[in-house]
Formats: sequence, structure tokens, C-alpha cells
Amino acid sequence: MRYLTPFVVCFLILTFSCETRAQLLDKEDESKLYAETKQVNQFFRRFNGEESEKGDRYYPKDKQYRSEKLRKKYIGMLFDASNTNISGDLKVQFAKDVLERTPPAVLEFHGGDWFAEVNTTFMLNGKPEIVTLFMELEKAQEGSKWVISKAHADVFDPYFIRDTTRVGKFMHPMSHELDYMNLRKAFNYTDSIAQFAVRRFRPDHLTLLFYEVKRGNMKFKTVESVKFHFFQVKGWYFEISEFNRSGFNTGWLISNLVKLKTDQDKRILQRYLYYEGR
Amino acid sequence: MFKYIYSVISFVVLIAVSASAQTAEISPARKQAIDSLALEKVRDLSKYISIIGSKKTPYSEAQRVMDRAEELFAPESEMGVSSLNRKEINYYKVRKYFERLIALNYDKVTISWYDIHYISDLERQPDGRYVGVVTIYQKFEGTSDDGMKYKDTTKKDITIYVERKKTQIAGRIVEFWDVLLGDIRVSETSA
Amino acid sequence: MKYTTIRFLRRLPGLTFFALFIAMAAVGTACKSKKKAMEVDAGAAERERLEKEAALKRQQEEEARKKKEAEERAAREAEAAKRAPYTKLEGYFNAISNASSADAANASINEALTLFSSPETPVLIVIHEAAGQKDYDRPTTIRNYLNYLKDQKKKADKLGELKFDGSGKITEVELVKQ
Repeated sequence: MRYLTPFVVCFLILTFSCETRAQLLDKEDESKLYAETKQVNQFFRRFNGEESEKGDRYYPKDKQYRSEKLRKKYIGMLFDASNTNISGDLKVQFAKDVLERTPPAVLEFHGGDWFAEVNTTFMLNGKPEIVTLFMELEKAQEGSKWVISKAHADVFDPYFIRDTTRVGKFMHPMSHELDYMNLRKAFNYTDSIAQFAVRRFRPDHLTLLFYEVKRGNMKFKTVESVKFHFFQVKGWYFEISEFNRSGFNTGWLISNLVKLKTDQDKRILQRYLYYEGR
Repeated sequence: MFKYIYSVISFVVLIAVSASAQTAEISPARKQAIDSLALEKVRDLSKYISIIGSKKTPYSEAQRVMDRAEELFAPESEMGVSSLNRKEINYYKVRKYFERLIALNYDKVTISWYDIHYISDLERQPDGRYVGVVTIYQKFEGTSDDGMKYKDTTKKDITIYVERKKTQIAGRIVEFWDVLLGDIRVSETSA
Repeated sequence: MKYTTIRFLRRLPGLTFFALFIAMAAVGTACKSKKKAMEVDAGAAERERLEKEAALKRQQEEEARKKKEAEERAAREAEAAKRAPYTKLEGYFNAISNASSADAANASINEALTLFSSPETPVLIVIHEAAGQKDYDRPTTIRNYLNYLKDQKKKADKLGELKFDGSGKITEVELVKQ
């Protein structure tokens, strides 16, 4: 019964009795909640200097709209302060570059070049497996929607390993003269069948996921965590994650920052994020 | 030559009209009014929940109030609840959630509101409806039957759908803003 | 002739003159008095006339004031009569929102519904107005709105316009969000 109590109490979170009363709560509590970057939408607004500290929206006609002073203050507080991997210098460089370029860099919700990484759990034949879904916004009819662009699941990797010996199994260069009859042997070699594929072959985990779900072998269970990758500010990459902790440095904050010197840097990093070539 | 000029002008006019149709619809003042309406419906929901969950409410009355509360929601809406101890999210259909509330009425429950709320921009869905998210916070303190005290603070992210609709009243067409609640994500905070 | 007589005769012109003078003075005084009397008569008449005019003016002003008061009172009463259903409905809203029990609230709801042509009387709630265009919340019915006030126990939206049928029943309600 005791183990059920926390579970049952989850409902209590939303249960109010007739003795409900509104109370003036701790001022400090409230100020922490104001400080929290509560939504990804708020991250955009604060980064761009498009809202006040209390969350009131600024529009182009307002004096404070995208003001440099406001943005400087915000960009400072949008980093995860506990992350020592991002040096103070790099943060300053980033803020300077964002604010001093012409025009100053702003994040656009529909501006592309940003995507979500969603860690989920699926049940595969009754066993929980982590599946990472990559999602992006797509224009559709009168508006837009989130769509899954790629997936990755470690559980699918073993199906595509290639033989690591220098000269492993292969179909010889005269196979064509025998109508490729050695395909039969190749497909019997189930240990690492992928080695008979072209060098550039990359298995698509999203296809596998849809296939297994459709076949009833995989079933969605829950979302574990979400983060977002931004390439929208030219020359920079940053990642944002949600920090649920006490204090004033909470909510959606920059958890990683990398300076991209070239377009190739950008491509390499993107491939890494998508688990390609790992 | 004239055909070309005509095409260019038509194209420019088309872009201008479609742009104005998109952006003129929800002005800042109108958005503020819609935000207030959405927040009011969120508070209305909380009040309905307090009636449904109270021991003092007769069953028939609770049923009536559940119907009222359900009317606030778009069809197929769900609650997704997680706590700090139990990170796994539990999903409940709205009606099912209300019915479980009736079964779980508590001895003494105190809910406190934080005044703060945050409302996102309204984005257009493929079907033309606008969608946004309202974030609010609550502090909960409860005493269970066996005397155990429990307290927590939760963050609620509530989906709102906003659509321009028409209806007929006394023989004339009346346009209105239909604001409905959608999925709700409830997560315990460390604040 | 005697000396006194001669003296008298010598003094006669003087005496005559004196007498004439006295007579003239007397007449003059008499004239003055008469004139004065005449003047006094004229002044009194004038005063009387003025007083009459003033009295008339006062009377007219009084009548005008009374008329204006009566008109204002009539206007106020007409206004009050016009506002009566509004005031009454606002009273019901307050009673329902502040009812001490569900039964008390239901009783107020049933009473309030008698003001309407039907419990399904439409209720339009204005959420925003600009350039003459009104934005409404989803329309509801008066029965649903009154039950909403009972459940939520909150202050009703401000009463806007009411429409009536021939028998004085309310056929449409407009409320305005504050």
C-alpha cells in the first residue's frame, strides 16, 4: 500500500478539495518562478529581447523590443551556470557576436536549422529499449507541425555490423558471370550480412522503427528527456536542455556551446548528433 | 509587356493580401484578450476539479460538474503526470482522470496558487487552428487517511486551441473565438 | 385820517407783498406736498408694480423649477424602469455567486430564469472590442451561465445589453468581460 502512496498522490497533485483557498505565497518562491525559463518559447523571447522580466511581450512598437541592453542581460542568464565546460570567454564571444553583428542575430521559430532530440522508451518484444527520435518543424497546409526526421536505437545496430577483419567475406569481381549465384551463400551468412552492402550504405533506423511498430513488435512507452540543437546562429552551435532544480538558474538553458569555424565543422557536428558515422 | 506588368502586380497583391490575412488576424490586443480568456478557463478547470474531488460533493452533482469540466477540453485530450520520484509519465484520458478523482477523495487538501503564469505565442496548425501553451504553478499539501503528510509544487503546461468559429443566434451570424484546453503535462518541480 | 390808518396804508404794499409771499409759500408747500404726495403716490405705484412683477417672476421661476424637477424625476423613473430588469438580473447574479448552499443557488437560478423567454436564451460574452468590432467567447445559454456562476462562485461578467420580447421577457443577453 505504501508503494502506491506516491503514485496515488500524483492524482492529489491535481485534486483540490472544497477547503481550497488561494494563499499569498512566499515572495522568494515566486521570484524564482519568474526567473525560470519556463518554456522553449520563453527561451526564444528572452534570447531575442522580446519580453519583460515578468513575461509581458514586447512588440516592434515598444521601446525595449530587442534592445541591446535587455538582450545582454538575458543572454547572460540563459546559460546553465553549473556547466564548467563552457568557458566564460566563449560565452562572452558568443554574446558579442550575436549582438554586434549587423543585423543582430535573432532566433526565429520558423527559421529552420534547429531540431529536437527526444529520448523515448519503446517496448520491444516486452523489453524496454531507448529510442532517440530527431524531430523538426515542417510547414503543412495552413500552419506547421512537428515531424520525425530520423531515429536511432542501439538495439538496431547489431543487425548491421560489418565484418571487421581486413579481408572478410565478399562477392568476387566475376560474380556477374555466374548470375550472382553466390548471393545464396552471402545471405546465409547472417552474422554480418551488411558487409555485402555498398560502402556508403547507412541503415535507416526510422524505417525499422515504423516497420516494427506496424508489425506489433514495438510499442511506445514514454518520453524520457528532450533537448534542442540550434544551428541557426551562423558560426555557432548550441544545445538547450531543461533544468528542474532549486534556485534561480532553472528551466530551458544553454547546456552546450561550440564555435563553428567552417561549414564543414557544422556538417561534422550534425552527423555526430544524428549518430551517423559513430 | 502589359501581360508581364499585370502578372507582377497580381503577384504582389496576392502576397500582400495573404500576408495581411495571416498577420492581421490576432493583433497584440486581441491576443491579450484571448490569453485572459484562456487563463480564466484554466482557473475554471481547477475549480471544477476541486468540486469533483471533494468528499462533500454528492455523486450526481460531481457527474454534472464532470460534464461541465469536460466541455472545456478538445476531444482526445490527456493528462501526462510525472513526479521527481517517479520520472515515468503516466497518461490519463481527461474523463478517466476525473473519475479517478471521485474515487480518491482526500481528508484535507490545501492548494495554493502562484500568481505567475506564462502564455506562449499562438502558432498555426495545419488545419488553421491556433495552438499555444499556458504554464502555471501550484503548491499542494495533503494529509492522507493514515496521517501521512505530503507536499509538492507542480508545473502545469496546458495546451490551448484557439479557433475562429461562427454560429447562428436569433437569425444572425455571430463570430466568436473558441478556446479549448488540450493535453496537460504535469511535472513536479524542485522549486 | 388817523395816523394808524395812514401807517397801515403805507405798510399795505409790504403787507400785501408779505401776504402774497406767505400765500405763495403756502401754495408752494401745498403744491410740493401735493407733488410730494403725488410723487409718493407714483413711487408706491411703481413699487407695487415692481413687487408684482417680482412676485410674478418668482412664481414663474418656481413653476419652471417644479416643472424641471418633475421632468427630471420622470426621466429618472423612466431610466430606473428601463434599468429595472438589469438591476434585477445583476441582483440574481450576485445571489447565485454568493449563495451559501447549492439549494439556495438553485432557488435563485429558478427565480432568475423567470425573467427569460426560455432557459436556452442565448448569452454572448464580449472579450474584446476594437473599431466597432466585438470579439465574443463561445456563446452559451442563460441556464448554463447561471449554473456556471453557481459552480465557480465568482463575480459575474458585467451586464451589457439585454433584448426583450413583446411580453417583457429577456430574449438575449450580452455580457462584457472586465
